[in-house]
Amino acid sequence: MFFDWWTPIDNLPILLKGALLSISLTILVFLISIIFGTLLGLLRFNRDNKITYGLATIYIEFIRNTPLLVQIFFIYFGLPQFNIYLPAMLSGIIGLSINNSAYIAEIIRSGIQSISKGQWEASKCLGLTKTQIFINVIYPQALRNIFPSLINQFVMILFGTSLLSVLDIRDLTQVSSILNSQTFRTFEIFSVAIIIYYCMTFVILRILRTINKKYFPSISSTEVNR
Amino acid sequence: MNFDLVLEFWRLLMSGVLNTIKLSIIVILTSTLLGFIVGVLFTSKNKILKAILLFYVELLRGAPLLMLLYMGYFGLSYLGYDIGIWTAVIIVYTLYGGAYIAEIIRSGIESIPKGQWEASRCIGLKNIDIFRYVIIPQTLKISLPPLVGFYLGLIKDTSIAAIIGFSELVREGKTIMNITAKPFETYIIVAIMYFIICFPLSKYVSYMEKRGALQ
Amino acid sequence: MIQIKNIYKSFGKVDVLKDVSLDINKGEVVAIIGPSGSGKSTLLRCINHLEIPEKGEVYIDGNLITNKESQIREIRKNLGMVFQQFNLFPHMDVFDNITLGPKRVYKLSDEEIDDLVDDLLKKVGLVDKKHAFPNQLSGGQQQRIAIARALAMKPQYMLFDEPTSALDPELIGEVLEVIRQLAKDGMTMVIVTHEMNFARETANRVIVMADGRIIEQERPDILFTNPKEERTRSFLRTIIEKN
Repeated sequence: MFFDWWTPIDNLPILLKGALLSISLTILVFLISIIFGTLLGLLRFNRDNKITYGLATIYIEFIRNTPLLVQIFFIYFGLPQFNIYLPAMLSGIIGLSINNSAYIAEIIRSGIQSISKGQWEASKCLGLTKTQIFINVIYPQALRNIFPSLINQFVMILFGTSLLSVLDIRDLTQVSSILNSQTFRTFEIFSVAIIIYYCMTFVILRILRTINKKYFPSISSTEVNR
Repeated sequence: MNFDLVLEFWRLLMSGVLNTIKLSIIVILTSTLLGFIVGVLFTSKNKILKAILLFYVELLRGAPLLMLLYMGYFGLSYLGYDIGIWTAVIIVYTLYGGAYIAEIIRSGIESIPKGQWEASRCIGLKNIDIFRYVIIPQTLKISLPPLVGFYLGLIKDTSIAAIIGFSELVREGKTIMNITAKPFETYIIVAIMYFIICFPLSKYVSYMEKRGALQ
Repeated sequence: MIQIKNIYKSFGKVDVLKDVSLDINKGEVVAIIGPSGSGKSTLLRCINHLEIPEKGEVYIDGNLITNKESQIREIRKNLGMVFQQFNLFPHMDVFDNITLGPKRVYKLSDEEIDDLVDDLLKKVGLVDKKHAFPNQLSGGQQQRIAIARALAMKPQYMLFDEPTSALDPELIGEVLEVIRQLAKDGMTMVIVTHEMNFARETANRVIVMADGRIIEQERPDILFTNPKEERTRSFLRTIIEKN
């Protein structure tokens, strides 16, 4: 039994094309989820409007307590029952976005909640409106706090794209799977695919963590220098 | 909408959910054991050991679970190890969970103030005793919320094994969907069943986090 | 003029303020002292509606404070507040901390803002810290910036909620000096404090609270030498013993 490493290496272009699709989908879904998740997070934070709070809560709880795969199947297989036919790519993007928005909403809500009450009170005493307080005082601090969680979520989305392979979307996982069924060089192909995933994760984490250090240096007041 | 048609296949649903629960429990136990050992070993001064452990944790956390399942199930049989699907799935999930839990435990241990180590050494305790009486109890307390949160994710992640043919809940759901041609009802029921299992756990995690925050 | 009429406030089952009434005239410096849990901070926070009384009214310059958000905001521009925990905005430097209010609420020009900041920093003695961040400042410096931030809105009244209680002893003096100077310049102030010497020297009137009520109010020279109420006497005794 010998290993044939040339098979995956010769097919590197296709594998990398799949990887490119994986990362592109990740970025797209991440951006959509941030927007939608922020909205959801704000709805959850604003307890005055009971209806929107309730709806947002039900949505988030349902998404977070059911598997992503079920949600994707639901959109791709379930909707056609009502004559809603979405192409695979759209179903995948919608499925991933709906899923991650719920998680990001929770991240944002807990980020806002972790800002001390004193910040709210001090801003109110200056006569600022709620919107002004939120934009100038609360949001910048919350973003700092949640950035590491957002980085983590980004990687989760990347791994989530691998599930889109069931819809025959040609991401890295699906490409490696197809390659396997064509060449049967299972171990070699999957090894290379895993290495490519690892490299993507490594680079992403490096970049995002550097951004975190540069733009959000620690401003904790517990570092008061006397 | 016809839920009754789908519910006629309750036997399949039950068999699926049973496998989901079985797999979840087995894997939670094995991966916690593995993750715990690796997490504690991370405190050793042995650079070679640390490098090996780091390689394991980084690799298993750097690729999607589906990819790892492909590698584990199809890759192992390619290498000549003809193991059944249960064995393959348990091995992969254990290694996968072990890596994440190792990370949770490691950061839990790291967050214990250095003063605890110093004080224990000053009393004259040996390393084993320090771990047993001082470090591990505190680690468990700190790590419990993220740990249970991870278990929650693990239970949901068992659904991914459906893709390689493991007969858990989602897979049986797909079978039912194909027979009844009612995917909407099928997956709603599947989702509700997951919800029933997961929701109490997630409430427990929130409760633990609130209690932790109050301290 | 600040008028507090028959305020009742409870947190859950605990009655923190029981039928408290108080008038504060323009130019007065009023110190509120008393044992912990007597309701001093709560009373202060009712003035600018950070706490909402269950019963009773608060009038600022004859205007009744209602629950309407826009009205409260308008009134708060005139009530500067300094907190025990400073509550500076950690993600902004000193300049931005001070100017956030005037910029967003009064919409001042950049030049007006610059002059304002320089004036205020001179007043609190921190001219060289214009672009420092809060985590680079000592507690006393942070509190002085907090005072400057409150003054930037040009309030007619200043409220101080135990401004030196969170400070190391050697930093208390610099903050009290700023407050003293403010009083000399004629600012109307209400100060909840444990600094008895400061209250004695700077206040026109000292209010003693216990168990949610005002038990005595008097000029400081009279109150500290010859208090009327036994409760006041025992409280002052514990303070003296502490020192």
